[in-house]
Amino acid sequence: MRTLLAFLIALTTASAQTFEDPKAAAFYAEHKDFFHYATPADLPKDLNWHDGSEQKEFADPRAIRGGTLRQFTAGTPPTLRRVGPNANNSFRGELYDNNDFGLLSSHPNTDEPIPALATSWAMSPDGMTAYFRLDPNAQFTDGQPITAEDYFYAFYFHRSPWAKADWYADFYTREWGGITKYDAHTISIKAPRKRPYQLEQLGELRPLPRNFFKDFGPNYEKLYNDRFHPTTGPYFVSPTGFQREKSVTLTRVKDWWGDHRKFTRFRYNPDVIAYGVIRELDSAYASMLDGEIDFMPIMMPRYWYGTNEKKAYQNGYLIKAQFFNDIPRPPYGLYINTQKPLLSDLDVRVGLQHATDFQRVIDGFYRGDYDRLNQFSEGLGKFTDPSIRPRRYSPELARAAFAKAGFTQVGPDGILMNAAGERLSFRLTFDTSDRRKYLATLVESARRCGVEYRPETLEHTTMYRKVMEKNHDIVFWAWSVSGRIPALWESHHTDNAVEKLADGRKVPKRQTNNITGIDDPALSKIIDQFRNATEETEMIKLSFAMQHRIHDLADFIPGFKVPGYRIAHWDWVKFPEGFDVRSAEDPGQYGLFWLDPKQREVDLKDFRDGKVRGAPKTVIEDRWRTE
Amino acid sequence: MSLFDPSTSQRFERFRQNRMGWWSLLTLVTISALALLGPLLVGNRPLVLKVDGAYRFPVFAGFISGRELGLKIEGEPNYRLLAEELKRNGRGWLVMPPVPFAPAEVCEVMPEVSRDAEGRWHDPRGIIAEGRIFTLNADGTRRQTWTIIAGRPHGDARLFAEGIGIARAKFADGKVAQRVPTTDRTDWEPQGSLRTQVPSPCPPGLDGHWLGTDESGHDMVARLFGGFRLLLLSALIYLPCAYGIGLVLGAAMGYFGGWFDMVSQRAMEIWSNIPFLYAIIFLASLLEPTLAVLVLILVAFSWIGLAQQLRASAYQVSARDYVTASRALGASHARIIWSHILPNCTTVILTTLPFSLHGLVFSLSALDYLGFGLPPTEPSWGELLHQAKENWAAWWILGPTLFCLVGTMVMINSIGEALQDAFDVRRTQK
Amino acid sequence: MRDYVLRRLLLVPLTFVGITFVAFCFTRFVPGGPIEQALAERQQADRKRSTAARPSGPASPEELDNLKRRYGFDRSLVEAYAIWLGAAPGPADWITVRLDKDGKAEAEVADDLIPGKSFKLNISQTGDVFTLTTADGNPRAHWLAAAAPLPDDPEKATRVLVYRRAYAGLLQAELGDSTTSDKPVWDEIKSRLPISAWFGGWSLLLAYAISIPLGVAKALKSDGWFDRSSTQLLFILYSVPGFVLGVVGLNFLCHQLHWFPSMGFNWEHAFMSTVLPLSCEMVGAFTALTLFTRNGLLDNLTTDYVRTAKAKGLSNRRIVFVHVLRNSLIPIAATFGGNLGFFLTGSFLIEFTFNIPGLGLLGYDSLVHRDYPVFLGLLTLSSLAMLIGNIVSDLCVAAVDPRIRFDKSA
Repeated sequence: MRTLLAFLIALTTASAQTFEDPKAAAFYAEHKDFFHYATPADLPKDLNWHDGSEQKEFADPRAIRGGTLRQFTAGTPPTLRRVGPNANNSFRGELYDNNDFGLLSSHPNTDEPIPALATSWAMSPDGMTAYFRLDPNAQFTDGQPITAEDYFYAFYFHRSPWAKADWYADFYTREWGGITKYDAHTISIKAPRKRPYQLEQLGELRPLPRNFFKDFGPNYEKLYNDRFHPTTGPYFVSPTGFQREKSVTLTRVKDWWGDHRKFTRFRYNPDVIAYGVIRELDSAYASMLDGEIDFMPIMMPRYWYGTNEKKAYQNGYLIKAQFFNDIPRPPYGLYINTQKPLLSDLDVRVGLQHATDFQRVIDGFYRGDYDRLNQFSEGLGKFTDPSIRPRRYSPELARAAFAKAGFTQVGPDGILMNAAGERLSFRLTFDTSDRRKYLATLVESARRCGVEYRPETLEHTTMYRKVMEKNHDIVFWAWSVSGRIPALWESHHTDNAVEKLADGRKVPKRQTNNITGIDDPALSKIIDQFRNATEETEMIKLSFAMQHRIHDLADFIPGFKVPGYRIAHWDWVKFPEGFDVRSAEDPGQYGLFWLDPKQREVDLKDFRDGKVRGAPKTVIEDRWRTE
Repeated sequence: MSLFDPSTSQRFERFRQNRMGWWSLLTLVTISALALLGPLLVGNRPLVLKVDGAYRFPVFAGFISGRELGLKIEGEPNYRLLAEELKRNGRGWLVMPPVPFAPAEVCEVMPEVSRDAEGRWHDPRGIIAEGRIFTLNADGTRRQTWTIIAGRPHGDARLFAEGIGIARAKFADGKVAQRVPTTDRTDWEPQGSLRTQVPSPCPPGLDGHWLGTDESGHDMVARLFGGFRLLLLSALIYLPCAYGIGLVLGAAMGYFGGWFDMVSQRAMEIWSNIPFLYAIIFLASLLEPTLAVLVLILVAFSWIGLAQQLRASAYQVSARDYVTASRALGASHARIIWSHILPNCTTVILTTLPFSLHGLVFSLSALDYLGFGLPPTEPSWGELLHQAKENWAAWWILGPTLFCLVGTMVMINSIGEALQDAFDVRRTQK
Repeated sequence: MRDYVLRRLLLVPLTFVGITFVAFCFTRFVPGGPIEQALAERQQADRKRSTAARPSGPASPEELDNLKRRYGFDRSLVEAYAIWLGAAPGPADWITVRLDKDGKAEAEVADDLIPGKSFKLNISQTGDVFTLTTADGNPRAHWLAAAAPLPDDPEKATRVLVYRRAYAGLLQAELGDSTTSDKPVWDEIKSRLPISAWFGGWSLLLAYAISIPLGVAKALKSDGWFDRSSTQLLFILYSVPGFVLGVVGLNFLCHQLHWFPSMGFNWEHAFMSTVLPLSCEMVGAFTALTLFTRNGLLDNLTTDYVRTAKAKGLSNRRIVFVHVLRNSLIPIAATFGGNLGFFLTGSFLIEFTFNIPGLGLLGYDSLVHRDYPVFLGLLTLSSLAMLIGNIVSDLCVAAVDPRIRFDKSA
């Protein structure tokens, strides 16, 4: 009987078993200290299991499945690979990042962990290991079940030199301490070191479809270039769904595992998402007004206000919506290279802060729709000190600060000079994006304060090179931000500011993100302390201290922040109560909207016949607005 | 062939007979002369300024600190506002240029708003469909703002202190619906006169902007004028350089021939195949991207065609008997090139000149259109075209720019055609 | 004559190498290459946030070194150019490994003999020498190993580059792979060729089909009102830059009036999506050619043989269409060679404005994305077309006009 049972178990597991990569197995065997195999009996008994059920569901149960969502993209992705050269392209969010799940997700409104591929989880008492029970029904988009082995495979894959993904290789080596399989649907993951938000970080692990990677080898880069990599999410790209330079079509999985789970049901409602290539935003906007695109972001004032004059809006078919979100704000602003002469003077920098009129740019160019950025680390929730405010534009204060730095004489052109005859004249570098249009405003405002900004617009890559070589004076720039924890080592630590040459000279360190070249021992000390802190209260205290120090050093002139997103959508796209969730940057990110294909037909016909449907409608949802 | 040859006056007569070309030349020369006047016609510094009995000429004097004029600011005053102030307090008067805006100046059009019988807010263009109205502090910063939708306060209203937002209220149907922070000390009533800002590009007719403003808030007339001046300046750099190089090399190649000609021909073939956008990106990153740099890059890529034409003409001349004769008489190469070859190239120079100009205007506009040109503070027609492409509702950007650009091109080419007629050079070569 | 042709042909490779070498220098010295592009893309703010782990922050030394190798920036200018040309062997396939403490490592690489298969190489170090052996203990042809130390290497283990030495350049008829799409450059060009050929073909056809009859008509009625007004019109057309007309057309005819599609080129509506871009591309194209035909014809009409023919009593019509036109067309035929290049590269300003995915746009994109293999591939194509076209033109002229002899000139 027992043998029969064992046989039956073996048989069922064998049928459920997907491809086993012998090379992967050899890799696991080679790294025994990282990959562990255990039995369910080895699972600690006294674990405190959670399942996130206390968190509120955020999708709308009224959502209807079906329809085709028409979208546009400026270009098809260079590759469908998820790692390796060119994989980090602007389309991967739509393909993978928003369309894939880890063990846990974070609740978009509360930031608390909620279940995703794991149904329940527990932390070890020492806070170093997290245990996960996996959803046995979860499948990849190609129908393969997701089991513990797929999590092992993620490590093997990313650390392989064939993936040509050095960043991932590093990440999957340094940021994880080990993984243990108890059975096909129970695993534990060990942390590499003590750090804050351990559970959230460990729960980010995403499985990889090892069956799909049957041919993974030295030819990976070319072999998988045009093949969609099955995800754990609701959409996949069929072999015909990817037409270079034309379109990308995402198709929904028939019976997706997430449809039966609390935090993923009623989401990702369209059956098909079709992206057509339209390179120019203006052409896309025109297509949207013709009803060929269901919704599109219209963040720029010329679209948002321009829509008021469009028939589709006036006749009540097209709806404008503004959604305020609450997310970490990219630090848009001017970065002052403190390693340059004159700019190394704190008083000069303070003067420049007062001489740079971003409020005028916001009021004029952005029509008062954006907000002034307060400081470098904004939107990090409790880690952001709300008391820090930017220095306001004021010719008097600017001149006072410049006078402190010795710039008291006025040259024949109205630019301030010091006793040595040095003029307050700096190169101001912008890239060739739309933003260069307000360069003139900054130049003119600064002139009133006795400062000359010599404008320069460079093509983006050229500018990047210049800044990475630390050849700029002042540059308009912004870093992308990912987490809600301030990460200032890259941008503000001494380690990244200067390097010592063999002859003992100190020179600006190139190719680092400390583009202001700020070299302040006090700040570096707090940054180091923060990086080693694990207690939240201490982290908050240190975080505030860092932000104050950066404000005092005045190396970054805060520009503006975009307080949310604005879209125009046709009325057949329906949005949930509250429109979207707090962390959403665009409607596609959490996929809460749904379509009414029947209404689309009727509306489009009426619209083209010139009928009036109703009064113009603008939706403003500000429940998550921060200030 | 000298300048006062009878054939010269004959050619001049023939040139005049082509009426289109002749008038184009006159017009272009007139416009260029006007452009040379520059800030006397278009600029934000007054021609004459009289304050407290003292005369000043800021357009020539340049920067004058506000303190010198008895104002409370250190920087240069906004003379248009100063004019109003002087009129009010009777301290003096000033005369602005006909177009009182500088090409690089950013203008904000902020008309006062009024309320109609139904309580809806109007600006000079009509009911405010969606926008903001605000009150200002003495220093020009905003004090209070209200969002207006369909003429009524709806949505956001904000209070600013020292240029930084301190409180917010949400209006619904003209009433305060919500306050942030909730313990609000203000009653959200306007304090001071209410204005709105007409967003850039601003349509013609407001604030003395005859052709409106462009997307950055520059006055269109000033911008077009500045763009023409820039083209003129670039032509002044471009033509001597391009022709200098083309002439010397072309003449030398045609005259010496042989291996020198062979090698130079290959070098030119190589050089003419280099995509010049790359060169622009490359050189602009090494040097400050100013007009001179840009034009010199253009020179580097355009002398080839000239050199080729001049080479052909020099080649023809050098084969003639009198050149051979003077060489036999012991004349130096330099002398022969100077006295025989170069004068014979005059025809080529004169007849190709307009077409070189055509190429220059085209290239500069195309570069700015693509965004690889000058910094956006410099006025340029190409950049305006780029804006026109993005703001196609703003006809006042596209129309005048198109008119200026095509008009200039037509005039240049008409002159070229007339010159060809005059010199009896026919296009038998592409 | 034969000598001349031979000499010209011999000069073609030389000039070609010159062109490509200068262009190659540009790809080397233009600040900001594919590496910066990759790094800029991952850490600047104009992109969406995501919860997934994805590359961020500056590159590690290892990553930077691999990027350099990938884009060939680990070599000197001349060496890299020779590799691109196929005159020197380059690392066709490579991988870096770290030696363990015994000075040994293993690498599995793609098999160059059996496509799609891979095999293992064992690396061992003795002194400064690396030896590579396959599983059976023998060395493998063309596979080599070399030390690849990193600056600021955080790890101590020796880093070794294992690579296959091979000639894979232009001389081997390989243009390399695009660095953005990883596709062979030739495939990229091939996929864009139909659209460029479509536009190029039409513009070539229309240019000649309109200009020549117009030129003839003008010459026959020279200095009449038709001649003068059409010349005027042609000059006005010549004065309108094509891209300016493009902007106007796009605004009014596409966006405002919806007469033409604004979404780029589409084979299904080939006609509608061709009209506007083609008119913009061609707006200034007739002028030179028409006047060229007209003036050539006029020149020929005053020659002796025409006078003789007239004296013989041949009809005017017969003189013009049979004798004069044929002679006038010879120099026009000669311009055909030069047009070959344009036919291939198209007008990128128009393709940019109308978003037509032809070769011009490919070239522009390759420039903006620093896709150097594609850029060099296009340059190869266009400069070859130009060089050969020039010779063809010369030959055409020489073949029909025995008076022209190139031997004595130059």
